Amino acid sequence: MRRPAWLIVACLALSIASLAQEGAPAPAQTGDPAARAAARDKRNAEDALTWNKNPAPKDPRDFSGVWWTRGYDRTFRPVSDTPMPPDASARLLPMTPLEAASRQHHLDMEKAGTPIADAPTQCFPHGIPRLMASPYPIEFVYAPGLITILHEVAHNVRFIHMDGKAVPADTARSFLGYSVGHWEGDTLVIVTDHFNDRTQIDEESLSHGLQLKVTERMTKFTNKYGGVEIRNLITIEDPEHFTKPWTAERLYPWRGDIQIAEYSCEENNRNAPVNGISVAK
Amino acid sequence: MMLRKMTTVCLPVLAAVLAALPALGAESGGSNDSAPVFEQPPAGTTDFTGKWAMSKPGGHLLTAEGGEPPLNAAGKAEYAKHQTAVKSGDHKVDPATSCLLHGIPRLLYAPYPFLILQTTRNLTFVHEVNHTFRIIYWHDKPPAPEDVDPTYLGAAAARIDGKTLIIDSVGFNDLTWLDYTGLPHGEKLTVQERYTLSDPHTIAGTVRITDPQYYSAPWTARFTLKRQPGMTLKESVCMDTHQM
Repeated sequence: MRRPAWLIVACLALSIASLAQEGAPAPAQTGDPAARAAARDKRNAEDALTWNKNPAPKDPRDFSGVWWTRGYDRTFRPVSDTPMPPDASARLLPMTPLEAASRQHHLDMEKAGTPIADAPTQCFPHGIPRLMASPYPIEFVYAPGLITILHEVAHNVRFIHMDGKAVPADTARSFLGYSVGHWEGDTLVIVTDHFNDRTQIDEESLSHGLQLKVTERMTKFTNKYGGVEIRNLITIEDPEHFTKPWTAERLYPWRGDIQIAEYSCEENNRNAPVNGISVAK
Repeated sequence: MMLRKMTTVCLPVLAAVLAALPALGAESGGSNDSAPVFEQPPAGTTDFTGKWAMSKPGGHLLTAEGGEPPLNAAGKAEYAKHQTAVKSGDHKVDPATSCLLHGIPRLLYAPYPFLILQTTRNLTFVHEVNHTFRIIYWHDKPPAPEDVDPTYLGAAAARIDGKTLIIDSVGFNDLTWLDYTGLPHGEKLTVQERYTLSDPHTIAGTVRITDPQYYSAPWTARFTLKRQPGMTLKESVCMDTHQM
């Protein structure tokens, strides 16, 4: 699938715009840092007010409702104390030689204008942790023994089994794997395995194999603006691709002001098989 | 092809930008609507939460009396078009062949189990078939059809009347079939589903179809849902497995 250059430029511009929302690099050198920080504080406080119109549940273990990550970061990187650009933080990745070569191949193909199409481009489920980086809203729904996470993007659904039972012996491998959850204090700990090897760790370049195991630690907290967020610390283990486990982070602010919308990935998908024949070239 | 690329490449980015621009987001008709008002069913109402499956999935929808749906002339012509195509082996006339969302009520009749998750916040149906979900909020009636963009699953409102769960839906697109044989519908379709527990393991249901474009009168079909204890929903990915 070749992407025209203008499209990449447009998307890059949009990406930069969306990253600016994160607050970190403010618009090109206008104003002094203190003024920019004040503007950011003001916006964050206004957001918290809007987003709390329907308040988040008070129970620290109750995540019911809609959450939506800010901006979009197409890379997963190990959490570090020092903010750094993606190229620099990539050096923190404990890659095996296999993964280092695979990652370079992904980067080369993208640079050549022929990026490797990962699962979501074919309307397959995104995989974990890739799905948890998606810049679309998500909703937690609680039922006895089960937490369901509904993702707006491509109607992905995750089931977190909370009934204390072990993974069934006949569990098949799948795009989103099999998730078992439990509480450690007020932290929801989700362990997911039984993945197939057809998804990527992140959109940019990182791959995984059948041995992938993902442990997520989700904790609800109130930020300094009065907004509520879930912090997800995501530990990735895959001895084929990484020499040791490493942990990335995503934050999901509470959004009492929105509902999940319908999203049909399949509607425009030219890869849809018709009578068993894929029409896309 | 360009649209598809925009979808895969730019949509996530666009969504992020829309998040940063509330004014634009409001116009997009997407997730960034103004703050919703949440209502709740009265305490102590019947709980429909559980794992369910249609006792007789697929097939052709009939009226509650067992008769043919009251198709009008346009409806008969459209239905005949669908049936002729399928009989001649042209399965792509069936929207489900392209993995499109099934629409209502066809989604309920899919030969796959589903979850009903009832909370004070909302009512969610999670269907195994192509991991399709429907989130319905507690309101007395759905929005005015002219206020919503047409979608596959429509805009719905749920309420509980005594022991019966009632879901009213409007705002459908015309890209789905009502049943597995090709019963048509237009964008003016409205659907009312009613669910009543006839015993702890059985739901007696009806679905009322109103669509002046293709039917001469509203009509109602009956269905039965059975609880599926011990069942776990599996991952079903239409784009990966659906080979007609």
